[in-house]
Amino acid sequence: MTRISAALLALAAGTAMIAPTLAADVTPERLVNADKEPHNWLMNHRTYDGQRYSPLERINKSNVKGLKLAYAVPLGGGAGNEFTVATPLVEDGFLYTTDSWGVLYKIDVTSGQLGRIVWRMDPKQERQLRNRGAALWGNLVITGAGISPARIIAADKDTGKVVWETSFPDTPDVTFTSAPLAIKDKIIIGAANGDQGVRDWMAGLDAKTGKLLWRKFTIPGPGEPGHETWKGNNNAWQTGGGAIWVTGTYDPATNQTIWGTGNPVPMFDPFYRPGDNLYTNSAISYDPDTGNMNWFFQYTPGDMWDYDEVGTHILIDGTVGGQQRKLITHSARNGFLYTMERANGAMVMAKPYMEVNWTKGIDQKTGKPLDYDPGKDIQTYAGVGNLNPNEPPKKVCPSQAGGNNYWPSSFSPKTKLLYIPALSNCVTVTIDREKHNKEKGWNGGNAATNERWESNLTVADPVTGEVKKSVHLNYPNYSGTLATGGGLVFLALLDGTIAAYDDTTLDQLWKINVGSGFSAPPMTFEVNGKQYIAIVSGPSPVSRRRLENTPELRDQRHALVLHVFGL
Amino acid sequence: MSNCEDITIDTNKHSKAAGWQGGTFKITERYTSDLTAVDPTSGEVKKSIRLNYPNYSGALSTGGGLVFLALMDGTIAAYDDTSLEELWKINVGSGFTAPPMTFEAGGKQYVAIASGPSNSGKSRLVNTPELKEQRHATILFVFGL
Repeated sequence: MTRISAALLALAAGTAMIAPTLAADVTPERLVNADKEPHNWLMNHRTYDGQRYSPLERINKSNVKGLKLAYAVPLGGGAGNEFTVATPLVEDGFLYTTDSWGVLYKIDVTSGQLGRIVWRMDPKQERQLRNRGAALWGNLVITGAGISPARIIAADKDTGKVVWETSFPDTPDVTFTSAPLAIKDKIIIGAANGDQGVRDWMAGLDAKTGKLLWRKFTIPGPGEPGHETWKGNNNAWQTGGGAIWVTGTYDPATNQTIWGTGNPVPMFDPFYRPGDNLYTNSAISYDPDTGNMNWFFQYTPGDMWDYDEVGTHILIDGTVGGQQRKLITHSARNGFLYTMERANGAMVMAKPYMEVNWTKGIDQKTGKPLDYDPGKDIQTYAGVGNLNPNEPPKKVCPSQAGGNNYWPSSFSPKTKLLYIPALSNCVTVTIDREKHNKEKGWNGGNAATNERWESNLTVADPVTGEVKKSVHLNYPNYSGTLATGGGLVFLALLDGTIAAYDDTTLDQLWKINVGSGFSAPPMTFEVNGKQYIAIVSGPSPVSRRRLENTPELRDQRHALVLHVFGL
Repeated sequence: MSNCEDITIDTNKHSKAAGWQGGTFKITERYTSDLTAVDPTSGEVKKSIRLNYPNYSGALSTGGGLVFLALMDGTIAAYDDTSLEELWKINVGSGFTAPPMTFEAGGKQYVAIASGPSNSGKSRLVNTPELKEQRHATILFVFGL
């Protein structure tokens, strides 16, 4: 009997799997069928479709009020202000996660009474960086670490020993902050750190050896299509960003992997880089075998508000005009919910899910802003761009941080609704035309607000774009949402609150405050017939800054701790 | 603590440079601990239970008939103050070197304890291989019904 059929048999018998002494290989087949292992969370978004939905339902609307801390596991321990942005993975009672030192942890969660760290793989990173977690492939656990040069490291799942390590010394300033995505016999990675004036890229590595098989820059070089969208005399394409920093999705049926790309750099100053700046702020469909681009769609051409679109491109099925369709939905940082055809990115609809003022709206056929002018080198859109230094600055909504952002939306196939965690603020963005070098930084300006940063949990129908319901929350959500078969939506806030909502009424059914803020998503798993909700506290430096206008949390302290809740 | 140690005298260790220990101690066993209930007027040991990890935290006894304690492995536990039966426990991962306490606010009773073990507390895990990779955090935990 193969390992996979043994796993399926155990599931068919309705029993939770007993963890074997040596963990089974995570085969490409198991990854394609990750939804058929409801107790597990085998990849960053749980399944290739990126829905972040778990069918587990032991914790549900009727009993969630009894949810309590089952155990906690502190991580880190090397310095103050440690943080994480990682989604833990769970395979058959063992949890894998990473921290801001790039340290990869294997934690035994089989007992339900405590979490014991089995091993730590410490890449000896020079300083703390964002790390969104790991990928499982075969007997390997794979994550990114470090800078100058950044590395992708594969550790043996049983021992934590490094099996291979690949660095890219020809692009010394990139970082790897997204969890890698394992597809067939390859590990797909994206390079980040775009905001430091880096030209970023996607790559496919041989999963067994880490050898680079293909690499494609997200910003086209001279002679490549799209290069003409980087005008001016600054060679801005060489420092133009287009970072990849959230894991993409994958459609096995069409063999395409869809990733969102980051903003053009300098983020606030379009004068440095006139033009549309392809392929920044885009959805790109790649062939995972070759890296060839199948299609792309750019959301905000010639952006000046940091509306990067790395957030998940979720694969869903929906009925459009009476026909069953394969779709992609994306709650964009720019305030709109876009749904498009999976085969080619053709627009189905784009509707705002929050207050938006940077454009009058989106053309429902092309997906482009109604006030986008392809003839212009610098877009004016709805006129809130503060392009003229002599005019008083105007407010722009959403803020430069969104809307939604890297903290994931989730989709429940039960309700067919999308649960969008979104900042609800506006900001004032001013351009600083000197900020485009290593010394002054590559921001090209500044974003500011005197308001509190707060958030909404918004439920939308991703086929029609209709906002069904929205609740306003007093603190920013830099964590995301998790939808479950129990009819619940979990989220976490920067004040230390973790809460569960009814997936239809959005009634708050449960909450706890653990003090430390969150910038990492919640997830769920089952072991020995019990369901758990897991989330790691410890907010990133950027997310902590969102508490600048929140006086009651002035003296808040944070801690890097895995919290596991159960009934 | 329930252990014994081998102590050797080092007559040179009595200066700032060499330290003021005057010797060293050696242990190859696990450090473990006992919760022991004694009649302080007679000195009679009424009951004692062995715990798998060192207690550097202390004991809190309450009118609810409970004794609370915390251990270096991250366990906080409550015992029946007569039978010493364990009635409740939770593991929060980080070790403890601070005592538990209790208070009431708004008509509700809480048990409070801060985690985050001291250096010498941590050094007592020297022969406890299953906690080799344990990490710690300074956190105030507050428990209630």
